Amino acid sequence: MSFGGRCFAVLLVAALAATLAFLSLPLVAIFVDVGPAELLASLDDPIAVDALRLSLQTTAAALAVILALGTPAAWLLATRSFPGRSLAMTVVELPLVVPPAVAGIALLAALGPGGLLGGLLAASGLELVFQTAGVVVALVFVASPFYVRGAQAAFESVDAAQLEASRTLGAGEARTFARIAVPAALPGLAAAAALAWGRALGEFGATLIFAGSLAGVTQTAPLTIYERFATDFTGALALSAVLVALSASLLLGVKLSTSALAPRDARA
Amino acid sequence: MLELDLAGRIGALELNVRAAVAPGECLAVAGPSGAGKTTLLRMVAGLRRPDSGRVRCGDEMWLDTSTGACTPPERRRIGYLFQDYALFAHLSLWRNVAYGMDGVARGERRARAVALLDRFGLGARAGERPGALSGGERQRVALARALARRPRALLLDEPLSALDARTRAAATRELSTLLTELDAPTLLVSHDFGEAALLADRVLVIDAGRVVQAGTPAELVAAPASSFVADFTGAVVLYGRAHRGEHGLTAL
Repeated sequence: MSFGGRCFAVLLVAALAATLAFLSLPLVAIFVDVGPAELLASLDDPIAVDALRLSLQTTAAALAVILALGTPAAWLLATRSFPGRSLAMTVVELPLVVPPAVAGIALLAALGPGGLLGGLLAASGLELVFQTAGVVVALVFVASPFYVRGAQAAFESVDAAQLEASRTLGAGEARTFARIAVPAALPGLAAAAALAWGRALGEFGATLIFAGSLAGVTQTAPLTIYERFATDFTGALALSAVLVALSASLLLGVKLSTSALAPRDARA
Repeated sequence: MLELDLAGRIGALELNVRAAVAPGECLAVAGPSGAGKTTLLRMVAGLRRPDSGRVRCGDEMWLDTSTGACTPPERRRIGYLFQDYALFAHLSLWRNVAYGMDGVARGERRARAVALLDRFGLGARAGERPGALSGGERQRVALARALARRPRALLLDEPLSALDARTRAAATRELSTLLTELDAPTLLVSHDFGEAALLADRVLVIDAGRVVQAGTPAELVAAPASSFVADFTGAVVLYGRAHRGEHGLTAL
């Protein structure tokens, strides 16, 4: 290898090492600062346990909504060209670039009392602000782009000939979607769902502004961490450690299961 | 009887083909790459709509642009062999074959699929995924899958071109035996006149979307109507003048 080539290789390795160190150092620090004893003690705290339970419930509900609506929507975006398709894709991506606090304000303006649809919601007896349902709405808003975008890419990479083969074998469009497209795209769909779940699990700003921070009702784990942070830094650290462990195991679990799911030869 | 009369514009190409295939007959549409062959096959299958034309199979009108009638591909009951076979990678071989068996009771599908795979020498591997198969084996699974529906017409897209030379000879024999047993009309497209001649009873040579000559393979080779057909069928045309010498004709 030439001197220049060697320099470039060293540069690449150094850049990766710096990136990894910067990304992992804060997360490692959490576990260095919190001893196992403190970790266990924090899990004894009913407020922390409530917050974690609420986080899991609301993110699971949000993920169910995102999967149910996002999967067919992503399929449509991936397989059809129609007027306004790129506009639709931009709208889907919009929550990615909107600051979470702005998302919370926007949700209030749309669905809060006195908001655009506030009267309609009140008339149907549906309350969102300061309610657990409001948390789910905020999570769906901020997390769905992660799923829809990933699912669209996963569907786009499904071999079109397999879809056509399914049609010629007597399966209509719906059956082709359920029996060929979804199983073939499953690794990509799972990865996208994991990203969306991770984003929802960490959601803070939109939830705080739209649903508030009521212990046991809307106070999810990130909100509890923020509240603790002012008075009980160790408690905040311990809860953070639990969230990090949860997210990391989620990511790892998806990576492992998708590599097991992926067919040895995707284009048979 | 499969009858088609299709016209349409595909990019710069003006497609215009009319043909009829009798039950049990194999008609090949052969021509160079980009002549519109695969598009033609996709139109017959209902995967693509022509600008105008008709497709009729027996007493069923699959497509008639003058009345707007168009049967979707899943209701045409065709057996379509895709060029790269398009096997379902996430399903086992027998599930691939059983996929199109709508008329068969659920409990019988596995036995039927394995029996059909057995005919193609792959019964013992019915539980495997397509990823583990060679090209020739994939083709046989794809054929079994297409035939499992008892198709009213069989459509073959370049059935031999994806195979290596050794597999190709065996696959040609198997396929021509199969075609002689089949009583459905078969439409085959190929860029290789040799492949078309080996498998088909009649060949339509097309160029730039139009039929330039039709006939049995022997007729086309014996009397090519144009230099294009002569080149395509593999004739060696010598340019120059011939004159009678001591030992017959001699080229100068």
